[in-house]
Amino acid sequence: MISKATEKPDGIFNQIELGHGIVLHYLPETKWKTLSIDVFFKIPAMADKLTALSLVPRLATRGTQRLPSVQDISRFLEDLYGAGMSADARKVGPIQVIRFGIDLPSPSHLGVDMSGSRNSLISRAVSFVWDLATRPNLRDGAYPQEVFEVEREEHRRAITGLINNRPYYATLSLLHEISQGDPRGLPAWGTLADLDRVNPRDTWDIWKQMLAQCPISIYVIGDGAEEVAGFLSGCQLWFPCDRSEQLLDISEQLDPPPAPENVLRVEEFLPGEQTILCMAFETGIREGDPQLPAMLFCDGILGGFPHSKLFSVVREQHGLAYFSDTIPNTWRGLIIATSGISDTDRRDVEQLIVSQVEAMSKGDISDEEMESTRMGLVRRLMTEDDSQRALVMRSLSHEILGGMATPQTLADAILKVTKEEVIKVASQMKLKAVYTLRAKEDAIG
Amino acid sequence: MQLDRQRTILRDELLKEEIHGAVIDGIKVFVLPKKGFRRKYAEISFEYGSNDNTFIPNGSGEPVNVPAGIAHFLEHKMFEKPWGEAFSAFAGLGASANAYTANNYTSYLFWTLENFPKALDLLMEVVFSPYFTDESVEREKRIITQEIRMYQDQPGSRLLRETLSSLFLKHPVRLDIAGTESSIQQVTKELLYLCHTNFYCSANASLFIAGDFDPEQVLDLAAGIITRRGLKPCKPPFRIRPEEPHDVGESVRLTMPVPTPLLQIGWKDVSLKQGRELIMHETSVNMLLELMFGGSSSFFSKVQEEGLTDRISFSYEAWPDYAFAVVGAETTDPDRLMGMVFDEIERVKSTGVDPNDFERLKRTMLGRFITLFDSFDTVGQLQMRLSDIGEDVFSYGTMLKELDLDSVMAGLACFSPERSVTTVITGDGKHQNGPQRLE
Repeated sequence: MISKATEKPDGIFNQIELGHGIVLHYLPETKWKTLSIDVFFKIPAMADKLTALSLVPRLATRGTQRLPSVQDISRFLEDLYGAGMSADARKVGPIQVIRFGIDLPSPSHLGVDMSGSRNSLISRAVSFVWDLATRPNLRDGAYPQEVFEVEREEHRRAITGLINNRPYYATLSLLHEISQGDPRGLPAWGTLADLDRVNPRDTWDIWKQMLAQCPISIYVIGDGAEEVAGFLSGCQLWFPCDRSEQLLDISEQLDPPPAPENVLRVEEFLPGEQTILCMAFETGIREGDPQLPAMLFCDGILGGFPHSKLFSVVREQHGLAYFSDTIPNTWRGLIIATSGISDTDRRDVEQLIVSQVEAMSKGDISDEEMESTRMGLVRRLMTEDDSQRALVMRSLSHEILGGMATPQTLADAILKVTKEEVIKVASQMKLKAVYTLRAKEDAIG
Repeated sequence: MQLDRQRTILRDELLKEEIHGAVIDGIKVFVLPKKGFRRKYAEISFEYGSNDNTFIPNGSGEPVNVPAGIAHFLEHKMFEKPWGEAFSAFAGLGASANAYTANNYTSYLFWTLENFPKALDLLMEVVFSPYFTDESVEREKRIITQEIRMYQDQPGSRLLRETLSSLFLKHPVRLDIAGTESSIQQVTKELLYLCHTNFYCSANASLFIAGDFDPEQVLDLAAGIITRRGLKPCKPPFRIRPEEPHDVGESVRLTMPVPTPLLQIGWKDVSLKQGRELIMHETSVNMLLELMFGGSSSFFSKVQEEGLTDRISFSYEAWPDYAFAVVGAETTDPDRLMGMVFDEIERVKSTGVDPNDFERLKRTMLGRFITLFDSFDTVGQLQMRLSDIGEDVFSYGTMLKELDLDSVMAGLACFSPERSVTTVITGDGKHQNGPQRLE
């Protein structure tokens, strides 16, 4: 069915080059009942274009040339047995990634035509996703002004509404402060200041330029992926402009913004019941570094699990928090600790967290902690095999940032990590920023 | 699905799914084999939640009132054992554990790659071997206080809480699942033991297991583990629920530091149902809400084009003793949107809905039913809830196919303006200064 040669260079997805800078990654697998198709447009961080590009997914879902209204699109998706459409802008490291996707029930369970023939479920789904990306509903070569204005305001509300999720907002703010204005550190949704400056014509022109120049990855996973690959191999992908010979280089400037020299301390007042304390520790270990498995281990022992030190000490032993945990940021080489606490306890909790890192660096890691963390990390990695989304995102991250391509390779490396290696990482950890989203109104400082 | 010691197997040929079931020492056990999946999953659920605050304990004639939030408190404390913390013990087996409390049930679960038999044994120990001390109960009060505050700071959570408090005048669904900072202060280890003894009994429990297993072997394993615990036959206590008047309370307006106002409208449904009829009705009303306010509705197009909102959330929930619907959104103009929602319901009452819209939505429901089987926990929760009324996930699929437009339109009776309340959260203007760097 698929005419061109396929290969699996270092991952679990089959690959086909569909055109210049367009690579299809597909994984046929019958264990899922969802067939998932995603198209990723990969764009280097460009501060002047980031905000306009972040509006593109919103504008696309307002209508295509064939389905010009939201109602048309929704009815089309209902006809495809309740298929789910998604479109968003995200960052993978410093690269802005614009995604258009569709999840539909696997045709084999619907008792319908599985082939990629015209009008089949598969061909309609694929054509729709490609239309979202390349054939938005335009008027006189630009997004309709009234649609653009509504989406600009919705985007503004989405950005300002980030404070409704305080722990998430606190983590974003911490990263924003650490980035110190570096465009590589800008969030995928851009800035409020730039949002006032964008307009419907320039936004379409910028997106057209990206469609001509950016590398594209298409991921198809699930029961029916083979048929989708066959369909895509046999069709000519349409673009609103010629694809450029010279594509944008997304392999340059992948380093994160440098962390501040001294500990950065930032407070923000947001009235409420609970203060959020967010602390960034730099490890100096990033994606592709041989020490990465030990860094993930370090995160796991400190705060990545319910058996971790922060859960045991801050929550269970001292009763100071409901949540106190950590996440690794492997692009920036950070371990970020977040806790929801009483405002009056903020200094005590900060001290407690610092003392746990110090204890780890002095070797205070039990064999039990090592083994529980090892099993936890392996479980977390290997169960990615059950999640279409996790497999696709790991592979996309590998394409952009390098590092280990599959959960299995990373899990194998986790099995070999020693306590000494974890202690070494802990001793490298430096507190770089403390961001406190304070709930109580007293003098900040 | 009628279960007994005799094992039952249910199949859906098109879905290529099957569920094996049995009743083992009073516990309903279900196994969903999922070939090719790495994750092995188990969840035990008790029909006991935050609504069960007044009951007549077994062996007693006197009703007792327990503090609001005690079911959730109990869920937290079940992980503490004389030998240490059960979370760490699960971690030692390579398993990740969690638990949650809802209005009508409490669930404990884990997933793992390895050591499934030991982890299942540990799960049974967690739920059937309580161990509470005065000191640990006091410490938990501080932790749960932080959890309550966390939810207080979430506008969406606050919105639903306020709506339910206004909608229901007496029924405990009006109370926060976690209780309040003051109600949890009244929790003692004696009260926790009382609740555990009465509600954590086998007749009140369902166990759901999913993964790449031989289902019969897993049923044997579960039978061995359950039987070894020597659970005594028991029955749940008599639950007392206050009689809920048909009236509703006042609508509420409050302020929080939200950048965009939030609106939620709630309707109390007083035509309560049981069993299969309840499930059919709940599904019908949810379809009706989607027809009126979903992405393909004319209503949604209109409010989106006006820039009022780009997302409307809605749901209808029915239980034998209470039922309600909610429609909500983050919106620039809550009063205008509120008026439009009420007008739309009246319009649909007088003109009905397009049968083509209904047929398309049925296709959607069928598609969602198929993809549901990619989520172990969602299938498990649905199966355990349906089994309480003698149904199962596959018969639910049949119910979906049986739905007709008349039954969906009958759901309009739930939306009486006299039995509705609104909650509006607007900004308080107190988040203005942004971050400040400290020297």
